[in-house]
Amino acid sequence: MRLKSVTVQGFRAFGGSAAFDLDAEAVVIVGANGSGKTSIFDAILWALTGKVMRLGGVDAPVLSMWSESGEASVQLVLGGNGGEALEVSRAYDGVRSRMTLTVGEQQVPEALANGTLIQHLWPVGLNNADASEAIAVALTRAVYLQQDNVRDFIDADSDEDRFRAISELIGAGAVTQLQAALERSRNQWTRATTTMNQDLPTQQERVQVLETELERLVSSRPEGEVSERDWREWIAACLDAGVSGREVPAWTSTAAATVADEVMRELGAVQKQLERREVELQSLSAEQSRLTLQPTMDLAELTATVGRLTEQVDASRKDLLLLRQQAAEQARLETLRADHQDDLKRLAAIAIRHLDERCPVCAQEYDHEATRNRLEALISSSQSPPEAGSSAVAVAAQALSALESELAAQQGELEKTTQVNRDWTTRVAYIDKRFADLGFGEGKGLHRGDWLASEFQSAHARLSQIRQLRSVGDRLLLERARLADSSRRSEIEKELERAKAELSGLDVAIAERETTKELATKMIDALRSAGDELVSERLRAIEPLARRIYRRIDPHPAFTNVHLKSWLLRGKGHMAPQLEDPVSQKVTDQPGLVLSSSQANAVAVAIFLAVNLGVGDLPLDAAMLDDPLQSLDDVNLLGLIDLLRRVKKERQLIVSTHDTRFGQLLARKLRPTVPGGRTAVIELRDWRPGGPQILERSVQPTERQFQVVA
Amino acid sequence: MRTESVALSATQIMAAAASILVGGGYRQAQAGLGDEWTDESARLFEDPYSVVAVLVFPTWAELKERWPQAQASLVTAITRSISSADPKVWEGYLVLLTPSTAGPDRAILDSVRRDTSRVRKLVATGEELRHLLDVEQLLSGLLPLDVHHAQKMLPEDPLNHLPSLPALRNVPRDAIKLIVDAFRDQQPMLDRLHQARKKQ
Repeated sequence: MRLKSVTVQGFRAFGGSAAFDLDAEAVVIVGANGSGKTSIFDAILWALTGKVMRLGGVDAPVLSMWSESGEASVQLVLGGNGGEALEVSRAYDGVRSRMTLTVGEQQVPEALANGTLIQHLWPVGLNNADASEAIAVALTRAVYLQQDNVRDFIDADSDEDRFRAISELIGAGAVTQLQAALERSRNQWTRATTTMNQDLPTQQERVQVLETELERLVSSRPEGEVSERDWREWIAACLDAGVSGREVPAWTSTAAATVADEVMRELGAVQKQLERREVELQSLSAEQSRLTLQPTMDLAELTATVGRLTEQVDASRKDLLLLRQQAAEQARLETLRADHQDDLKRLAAIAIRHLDERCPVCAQEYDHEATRNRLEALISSSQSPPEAGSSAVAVAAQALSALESELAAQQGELEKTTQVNRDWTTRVAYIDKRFADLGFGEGKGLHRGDWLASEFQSAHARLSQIRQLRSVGDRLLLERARLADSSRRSEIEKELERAKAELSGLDVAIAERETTKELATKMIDALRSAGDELVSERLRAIEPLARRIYRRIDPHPAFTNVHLKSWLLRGKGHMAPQLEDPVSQKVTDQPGLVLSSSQANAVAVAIFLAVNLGVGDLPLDAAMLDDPLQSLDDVNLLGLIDLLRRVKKERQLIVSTHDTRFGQLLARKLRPTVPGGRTAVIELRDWRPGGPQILERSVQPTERQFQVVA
Repeated sequence: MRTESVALSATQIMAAAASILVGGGYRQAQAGLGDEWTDESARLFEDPYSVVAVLVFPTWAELKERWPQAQASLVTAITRSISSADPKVWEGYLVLLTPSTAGPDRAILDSVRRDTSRVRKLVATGEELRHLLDVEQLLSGLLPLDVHHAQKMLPEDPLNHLPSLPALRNVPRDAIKLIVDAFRDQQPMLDRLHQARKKQ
């Protein structure tokens, strides 16, 4: 694609509107510094990528401070290469930017505009994760050599940055994308394989379980044949034994097991019922035999004895009470007497101490001896206890106690005998009721003992029959279960075969997936270096061109060769320009340190043009150089211009200069040499807020290509 | 230093220069540069851009002495055929060659080379001219730029170039093609690789 025209409004140095015809093999833009030359380049870059990296990649700086419309807009028309014309428009109103794209006559929806533009300009860029960023880098590295950044590639950029830039330009980013995509795919693949691996133990366990079950079933084969007749005879016998009637399925059907199970349950219930009856009959028989021993105690005699004893106790209690009253009176009198005697003793003691010839009280004479004896007798006299009363009470109390004990014993005997008689009556009633409950009829003239024996015999006989039927039922059910096992064994054999086949298939599938994964891993590892190898290979392809271009400018008398050195360090690609003196064979890896500023600029331009021409597929078939060389010697300048003259056959060339004389030289040197060729010259003069004055002209091709050679 | 020997003779240098220029689209003027120059020592060429005079001197001393005369002859030849209004009148190139060495006169040689007052000069002596390729390199500034050699080595899509890279030498080519195709089609890459492997 080549540039056809660009129209700017309110953009950078152009406050007003300006249109430029770029439909030429070479466009020379001449203007003093600040006249708007760079703004034209920026407008082209902004229209194509939506950003101008040297302005920070944001929109705000593109809006002119003197914009007459209040917004910045650029319309860029591209064409060539046999494709449809593209018209890209971008506008920024200070808040948001918008973009429109017309392909031929068809306007592309805004949402698709950017992707469609990249698709048309640089399809290989779509291999990059951020295609917009990639195309911006490609344009600023290989198409548009910016005035402010001429030497960035050889001075400011690191070896790794340079390598990466070249990598993006030649589309080696696609290899990285491929490697990343393959790595993602392999990771997903690994996860899926891991899931399959996790299924493996389950599948193995399933096979083991089936094998174990099969082994068990093999050991439980049917022992004897059960005929349909056996089955139906057993059912008939069960019905006779009291099992309820039902529809009887064929022995070989699966329902036979259910029916047999139901019949067995009913037989069990009947058996339990009979066993209970048998126990009850035995129990009643024992009760009956125990009931013949009747109580023998005479209740009337016992009652009379108790009455008699009660009366004796009452009388004895009264006697004892009277005796106790009498004893108490006697004790009271004895106490009075003893008190009197005590008083006499104390008086005698006092008197004996005061005995004299005469009475100390009445002063009469008395028989002293007799008195003393008398007093001493009083003092030494002792009090005898009243015994007769208390011993009578004791005897009476003892007699009463004996009577009360006898009464209590007789009363206990009476109560016990009464209870025994009551229990016996209750027992008789209970046994009568149990007989009635078991079906014994009193009026039938049957003897209870005979009836009990007869009933027990009958129950016992039925119980034996039921037990026999249940035993047969057990055998039938077991055989039926073995029949089911046999059927199940066939199913399990088939299932086991399937499970083993699935397990084997899973094993094989996992192994195959692992092989695929190993191949992918090998490819991923190889792709890690492949991208760098690709870049190195392409650098080797570009290097001769870079060398030829460098020699045409020939900025240094000794360092006349340039190399594009590339190498891998810790898995990362690096690239550095090298200068070589072929005579002395000296080499420098840092051109910026051995060259003057203008010489270094010349190296940078040479490498830029080598990349531009050698990289092959670029977003634009153009080389845009904004005031590329300043202060270069005339001879080198002429070398550069002669080089550019040859470049314009390969690329649309847009060169700007602030130097009018250089501009004239460019216009003359870059003139068209064939009919139909065009070189455009744009002069920017007298800048004002609305923009510079613009003079456009075309340099006409010479009429005769050869004049000296006739 | 590589100044001790000269591999090319004056005649060889002239023949090489003429061949290279004609091969680069130049035509040789039959009239030559003028009567004072023999065809063996001076020839005149023209292409749509420029007029080139190639002079091969047997010695450096002769070159040093006669280059102004050669320049005058070239200017005369140009002005004789091209009007002063034609931009081509400014497009003269003087190629001054000698198989002998400049020796201590390198500064003089450099000053001649840097003198752009009337025409641009390309100067080389035996120090630089040892092989035919050296003649071609000297004249390269006057020749079309061969970018196609570099470009033809660059495939349009790097992914197509993968099988030829040393890193992928041990990976089957069909496997590389499969994953590249799957990548372009945005299909599961390992699935395709796996299916292809199973078919083998």
